[in-house]
Amino acid sequence: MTEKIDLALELLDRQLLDSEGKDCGKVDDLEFHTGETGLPVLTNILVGPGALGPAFSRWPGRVITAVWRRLHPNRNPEPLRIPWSDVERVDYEVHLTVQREEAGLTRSEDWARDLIIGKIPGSSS
Amino acid sequence: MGKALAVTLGIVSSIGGFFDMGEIVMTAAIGARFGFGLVWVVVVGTIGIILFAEMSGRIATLTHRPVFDVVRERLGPGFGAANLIAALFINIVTLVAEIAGISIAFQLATSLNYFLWVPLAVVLVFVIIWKVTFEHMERAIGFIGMAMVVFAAAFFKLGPDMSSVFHHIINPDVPNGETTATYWYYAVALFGAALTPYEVFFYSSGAVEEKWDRKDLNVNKATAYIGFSVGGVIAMMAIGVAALVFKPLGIDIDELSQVALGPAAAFGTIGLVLFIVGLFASTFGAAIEVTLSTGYSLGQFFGWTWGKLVKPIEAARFHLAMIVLLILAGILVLTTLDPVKVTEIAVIFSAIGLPLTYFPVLVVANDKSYMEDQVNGPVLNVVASLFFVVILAASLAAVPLMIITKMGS
Amino acid sequence: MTSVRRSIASLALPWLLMTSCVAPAFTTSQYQAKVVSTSESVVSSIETVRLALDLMGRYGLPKGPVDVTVSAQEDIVKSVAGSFSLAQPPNDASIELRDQVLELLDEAQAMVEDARIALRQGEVQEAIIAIEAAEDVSKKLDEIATRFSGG
Repeated sequence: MTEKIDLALELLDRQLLDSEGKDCGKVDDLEFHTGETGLPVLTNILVGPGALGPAFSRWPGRVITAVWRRLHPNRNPEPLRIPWSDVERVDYEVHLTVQREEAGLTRSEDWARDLIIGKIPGSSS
Repeated sequence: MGKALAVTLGIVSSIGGFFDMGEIVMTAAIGARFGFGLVWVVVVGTIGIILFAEMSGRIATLTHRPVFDVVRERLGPGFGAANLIAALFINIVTLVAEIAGISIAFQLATSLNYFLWVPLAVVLVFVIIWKVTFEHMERAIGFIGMAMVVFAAAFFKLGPDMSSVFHHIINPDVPNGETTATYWYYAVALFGAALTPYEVFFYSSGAVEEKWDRKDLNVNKATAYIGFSVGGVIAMMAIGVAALVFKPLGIDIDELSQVALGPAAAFGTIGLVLFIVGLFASTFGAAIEVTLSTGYSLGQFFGWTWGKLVKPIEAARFHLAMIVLLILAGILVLTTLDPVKVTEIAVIFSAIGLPLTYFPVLVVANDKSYMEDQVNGPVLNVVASLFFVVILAASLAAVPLMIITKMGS
Repeated sequence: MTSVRRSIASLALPWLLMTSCVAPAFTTSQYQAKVVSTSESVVSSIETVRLALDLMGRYGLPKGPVDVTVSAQEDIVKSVAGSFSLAQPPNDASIELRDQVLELLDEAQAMVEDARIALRQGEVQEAIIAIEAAEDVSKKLDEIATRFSGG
């Protein structure tokens, strides 16, 4: 990836697709580390409510974060990180080189499927 | 599938999408109270839904992405979330109204209290959505919904003096016993009934799912322009029927069963039966569309797999969200909310929330980086932008009018 | 995000207004407004029942939907009359008005009820006769509504 892109306009809030072209969330936030030159370097894409919450100011953000913490199995959950090196290309969507299951992007989808949807007759036809 | 057939089907379903519980209740209530005095609002509302749907369809065709996706990406998570919350709220109130409408259609057909039919209505909507191959069903419902053309036929059968009708349409006035505030309150309500947001989410998400491309831009235009215009004409005739049958008798519409008397006054039993059939099909079709559009909105905001062409097991959150919505709406109907009042609230809130969705659509339809050569033309752009002013005015006026008139009483 | 906050507030406010109860009538003008809305509502119900039964007589509409329509209006008349009788009249003149309206409401209730009973028994003609008798009540209520509305 050498071409220039406007991160706020052309990366944030875009749809994420995994290596098989399956939907796996949105680019909810970005994480930078200070590189050797002292300039910020994009390291991770953050995905999920844990990343979306802080993007809102005041109470809506706090509500989202609180609900997410409460429902999360870990005591001190961290937002989901996708390393920038896993990004294949960016067009209207953000294409990843990994499968969404490997990247841990299917937790709530799995939950909905295993607990309810999978148990309803005709769900896989 | 032949192009002519595709266009016909599109038109039929957009007529169906236009004429739902909101239209059925509001046209009757307004014709009964204001005669022909608010017919002009249907003209304005129809122009609005045509602009709105055509732009959304064009965006979906060009970018292969539906409205909600574009809203969040273009205007950020804050605006996107405000939009989402408003859409969820409007959709649930609308769904309550539509489910009540389905149940009342059953009640009219069987004389059994409509509460008994609510669970069946909810299950029917669920089954249709759950079935992957529901396209045929959707079209069948669209065709059955055409029974609502009975309103147009009834209007002419009742034989009004057309010159006096036109006079009243062109010189609208506030009838005796009504205040200017109630007149404008109902104007906003009728406007909102024509422009319910779910129609546009459903329409544009469908275009994405069916993978429309540039070849389909004409289908999009024809569907939006012809389909919604026909829907608008039927709505005007429905106001006319109420104005001719109910207004002279001093009848106010506070029960859906009263509305059936309009077509019955023109055609007797056949009119009544067509109304019941049309009521069922149009509210049932609308309930499916509202439910799906709620799933679409959530899925598109959070980036889930969504769509009716994917197996439910592969779009679990999408389906779960719709099931939760359906159950919630069913429970709300059973709390004995007044179906007519709920419908009124739904259309008023549609009007209030409209600028939130219309604005981003207008912005994106003008953005070359998305639309390439298919941005709005200069004339369309002026009309669509002026229309945003109308939408904003209706939205801002809605709450004060609601308070002043105590919901139009 | 203030936009979220504002949109929620604008949605919640009317909802609260909607669900809050109707205040009891206190002033003369409020009481008169109550008289007007009650009368108009009952006129609407009587006329709906008349229209439904008239169409049934004329076109032989099936009994089921007509029964649904008539019963719904009967419920409305009952609830409107009940709510009116609970409103406190503010002065002697209002008490007189109240008595006059209540009498008409009682008659209206009885006539709609008679019509519904006859209809359920399959006596359409009797149902029509019963509700035609309410024409006079409907007219009187209409007059009262006109007298006190708009002043």
